Amino acid sequence: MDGVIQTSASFWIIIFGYFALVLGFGSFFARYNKTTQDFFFSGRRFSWWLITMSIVATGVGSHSFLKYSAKAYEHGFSSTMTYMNDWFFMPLFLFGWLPIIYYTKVRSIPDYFERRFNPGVRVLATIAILGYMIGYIAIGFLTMGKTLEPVLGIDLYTIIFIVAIISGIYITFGGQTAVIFTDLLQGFILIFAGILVFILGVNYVGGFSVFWNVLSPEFKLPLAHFNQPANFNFVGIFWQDGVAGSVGFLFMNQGLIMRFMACKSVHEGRKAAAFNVLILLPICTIVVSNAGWVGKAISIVTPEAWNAATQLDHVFTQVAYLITGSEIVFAFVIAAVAAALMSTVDTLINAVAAVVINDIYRPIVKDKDDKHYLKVAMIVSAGATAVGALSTIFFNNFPTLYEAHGFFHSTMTPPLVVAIFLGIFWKRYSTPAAVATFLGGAILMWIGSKYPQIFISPFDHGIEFNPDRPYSYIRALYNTLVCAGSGVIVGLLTTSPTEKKIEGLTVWSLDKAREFFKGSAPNDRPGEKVTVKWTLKDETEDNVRFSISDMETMGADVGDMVYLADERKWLGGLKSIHSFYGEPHRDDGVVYITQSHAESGLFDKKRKMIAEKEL
Amino acid sequence: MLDFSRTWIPYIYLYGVGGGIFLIGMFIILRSRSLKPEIVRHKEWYQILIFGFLYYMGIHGFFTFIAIGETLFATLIGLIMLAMAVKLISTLLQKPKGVR
Repeated sequence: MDGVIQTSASFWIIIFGYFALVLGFGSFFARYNKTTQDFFFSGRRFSWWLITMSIVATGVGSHSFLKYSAKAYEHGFSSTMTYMNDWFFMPLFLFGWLPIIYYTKVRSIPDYFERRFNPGVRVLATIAILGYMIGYIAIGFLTMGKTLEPVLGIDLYTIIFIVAIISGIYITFGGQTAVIFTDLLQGFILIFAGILVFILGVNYVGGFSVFWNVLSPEFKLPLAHFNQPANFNFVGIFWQDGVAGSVGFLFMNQGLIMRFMACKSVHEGRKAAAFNVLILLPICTIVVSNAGWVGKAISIVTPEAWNAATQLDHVFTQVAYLITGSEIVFAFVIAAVAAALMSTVDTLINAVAAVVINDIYRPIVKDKDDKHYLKVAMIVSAGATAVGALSTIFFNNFPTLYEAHGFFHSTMTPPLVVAIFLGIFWKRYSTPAAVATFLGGAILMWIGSKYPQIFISPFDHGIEFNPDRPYSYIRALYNTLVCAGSGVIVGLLTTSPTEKKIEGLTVWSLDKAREFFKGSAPNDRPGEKVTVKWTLKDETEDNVRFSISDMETMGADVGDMVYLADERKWLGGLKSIHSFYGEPHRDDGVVYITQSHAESGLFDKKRKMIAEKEL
Repeated sequence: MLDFSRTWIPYIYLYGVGGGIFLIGMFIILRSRSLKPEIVRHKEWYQILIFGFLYYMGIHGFFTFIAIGETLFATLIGLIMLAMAVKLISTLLQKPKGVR
């Protein structure tokens, strides 16, 4: 331990006050959970801006201020690499995976595997994805423990235990809507807190020109040295994070997938993802790394102020303590970071519950009412919290969080990533090929980890062999290649699945997926949104009725899908429903809805609605 | 003085290999007709996807030039990126045309 930071009672009042505020904010929205569909997916109703901001807290929280501040302190601006290499896979995500999962209404990623292959492959995918998410939860808990360790000065595992209890209680009762809204608030606060640290830090060292000039040109390069040192090099991180990590986060992070499925449409999901990667990630990379750069500048400009014994994972907390100059501001920064980490963990716990309920429990215990599954989902959330907390023991063996996360990505993601990719994009990819990817890939990965100098070194790009942690990052390339090789070879040697079996499940048949989603042929006739008053109708059929003229404006026909939302756009779709167009009437500017629609959308009688055709 | 291999080799590798992945992705979504450029909204997405690739190339180029003290090139790239970013935001926020 590198010294305990002294704090007073006011520090803890702010920390607990902040947590109470954020948790209360999320819990307020938990009342929108009426079914397991709401608990997990929030009823597919939100606008892109709300989802994209809530993704910030999930992404930033998970990749964390601690991890990047440590690498930023050691290696400079190249700590930003991991946030800045996600665009390569965006075509495949935006126009491949996102519409497939949205239109096929899969409840989880393993659910997709059953539809695309068979129940056996679903089991393999479930095991892989649970391992991935539990690992992620563990790293989240470990990060929280390390954030608070220099402040509390108590045992790391005691802190993790306390944080796990708080997280477990919150997610168990909150569900996805609560998580989305908590994350929305935290997204803004995190960016603010990170920028505040940067401004205060630069001011602390004497202004931007001093900050800039004391750092060496190599420190300021945005990409690391090509292949050295072994614990932080460009090519290893490209394959570990730019490929395995980015694809893992975008394509197989059930928590993130559930966010996109909470969007009101595929188009909104695309906007959320694009805005996140193009605008927010470059900002966030500065937000999470700058404490390390500032720490380095402080250690040069005022070495007497810098504690040379600071552990790398404690750089963020040390810098925040030094530069804030006020216990209140320091408490706010620590609270914001710790609460954001909790958001990340909560998202993943919710995702684990979704996978366990939909992929394991529901197929075994059938025909129960929704309340039963909701109750079991809450119990599973609590269990996932406990397992995640216990798993921190393994990840604490790594020198830094960054290396723990890197090893985790390199090892856990390749089989699932390859299976998802080949499943979506290669029609020939058959069930035996998918099994070969998981099992054959796992065996070859294990052999590679046992004999890295024989199997991984041909791909090492000149990276030095470290016998203690051989090829931490570049092993991702070997692992991806052996999983892909196993799948491709078996795919070429076995009979390809019929077109009928994989209809709507690959990028080659997305029109069919849209048709399945709607239940009839999509209507792509252009139309406008309309603003209407609403009134209740006596009928109980799940449709809403507009005037002939309004339907013409929207370009809609009877049986098309419609999205209705409260006119207040800042609600981001919180008060909204999806339904179908019923037979038209003659009252222009009025929509007839059922009592059930009004209750589900929590519509306000005095407010108008905005209606738009979906499909 | 930083040599070429330290400064630009990672950049070339990133946009060479990453660019290959990006191009394969574009090829697949166009070939499969998942992205249909004749639909107005899809055409916008096509532009955004290309923009995103150039935008990140620009960011990394900008910071590399800044780090090695080539401020003229960095400023030029910065201005181009700023103009591209303004265009992107206006594209994303404009009123949707049609469905999908």
